[in-house]
Amino acid sequence: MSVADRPTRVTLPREIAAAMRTHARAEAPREACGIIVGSAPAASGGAPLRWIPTTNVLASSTLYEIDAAQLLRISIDADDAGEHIWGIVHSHVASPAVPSVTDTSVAGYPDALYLLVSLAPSQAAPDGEPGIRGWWIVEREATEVELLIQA
Amino acid sequence: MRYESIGDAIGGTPLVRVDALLPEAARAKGIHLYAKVELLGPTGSIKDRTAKALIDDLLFKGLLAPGKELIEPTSGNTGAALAVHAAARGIPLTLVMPANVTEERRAFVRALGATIVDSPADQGSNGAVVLARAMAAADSKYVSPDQYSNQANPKVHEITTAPEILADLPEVDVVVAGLGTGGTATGLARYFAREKPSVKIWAAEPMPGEKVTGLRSLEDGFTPEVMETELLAGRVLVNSRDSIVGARALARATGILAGPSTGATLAVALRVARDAAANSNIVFIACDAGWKYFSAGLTEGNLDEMEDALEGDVFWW
Repeated sequence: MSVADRPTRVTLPREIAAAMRTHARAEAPREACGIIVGSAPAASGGAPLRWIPTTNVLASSTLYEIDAAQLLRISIDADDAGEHIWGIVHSHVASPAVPSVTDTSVAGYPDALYLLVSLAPSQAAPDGEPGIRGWWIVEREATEVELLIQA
Repeated sequence: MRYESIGDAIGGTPLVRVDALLPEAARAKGIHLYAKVELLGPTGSIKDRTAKALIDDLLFKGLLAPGKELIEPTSGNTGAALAVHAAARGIPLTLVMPANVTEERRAFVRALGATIVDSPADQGSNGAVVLARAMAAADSKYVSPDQYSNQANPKVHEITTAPEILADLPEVDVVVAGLGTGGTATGLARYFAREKPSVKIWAAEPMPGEKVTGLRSLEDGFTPEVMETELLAGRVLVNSRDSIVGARALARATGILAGPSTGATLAVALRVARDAAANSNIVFIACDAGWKYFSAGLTEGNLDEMEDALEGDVFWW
């Protein structure tokens, strides 16, 4: 599915955004990561249902890799519930919520939305909370979507 | 260890505990997960056992007299294993495979002396089966091992793979195998039904319409003659994405680099583990090696591209 066929605006439930921010703060100075399970992949217009924090096995301040066994179990549970991996989340501790070259090269789920949380003060949302931005990553190209956090 | 032939150096594969793949809740219940690492054979797959057994069977029955040649339609693990065991015994081997099979697979069997006959690329593996059967019908020198109907296939797992598991893990409760020809699952089920009937045999099977190399979905309408599904505790459908993620998880969490069919058996084993009683011991068959799938993108990058590669109708069975 090309980027042109995907939603250009995506809404994230406030409680999921809050949980993502809490996890990012808790893991700092390491990058945090997690999965959002949805009714269908984000690229197909699915609704985000649930946030699942995961372990960054690289335990790094500049890199992340979701624990592969955890990812497999999440994927199996989602299949059994008729759900899908909707979004893939990680944090940047000191840089903007923009995918790095490494982020785009390791992105394995082209139909998921890649969400980044930035803990850099300069990137904070108007309410002072860590900024969150959403991206499609297709063939190593990142394209930003308009991300709305539900009021 | 010293052997008279490479064919004697198969079997006796390790059973490796891989509890790191289990969720914390399962580990807390004393559940253990083990991989039967079949990918350590001479050609990196469980088909080493099958190929040797098929050739032994034909020799025992006197069907491979001098002047006879083996012919088999396969672009995958069985072809590679037949090439090794035919070379070790000096038996000519012809492999019929679709013309679009990758050069690395062709080079592997050619290096072992096999002759390759191309079948039309657009007819996939079914075209290879049709051509091999036509060649065998037209020339009496050809003998086909036919892993789908030859009882030597399940038998070798009944007399080697299954007893090895029970000897290494007498407290085994569940064994998960992939459904390809049905040989592994049927052989395991026959043995355990006799020796330890409480052991449940589960089979991993691709979702209808999806492809996991080496595995077949019975719901697509093909049931190999060697398969006895009534002996199984059940069959679980696995999608190709979980098979790939499973293979990646096994590699990263345990250091065992296996192919997507192993990822499928792992995905079923984890489902069994989720619902298992305390202190259950679950074994899954790690049936072939992951290095064969590097060019298809098994180990890194985009899941869609790997799924597309699996859809390419070129199989390692």
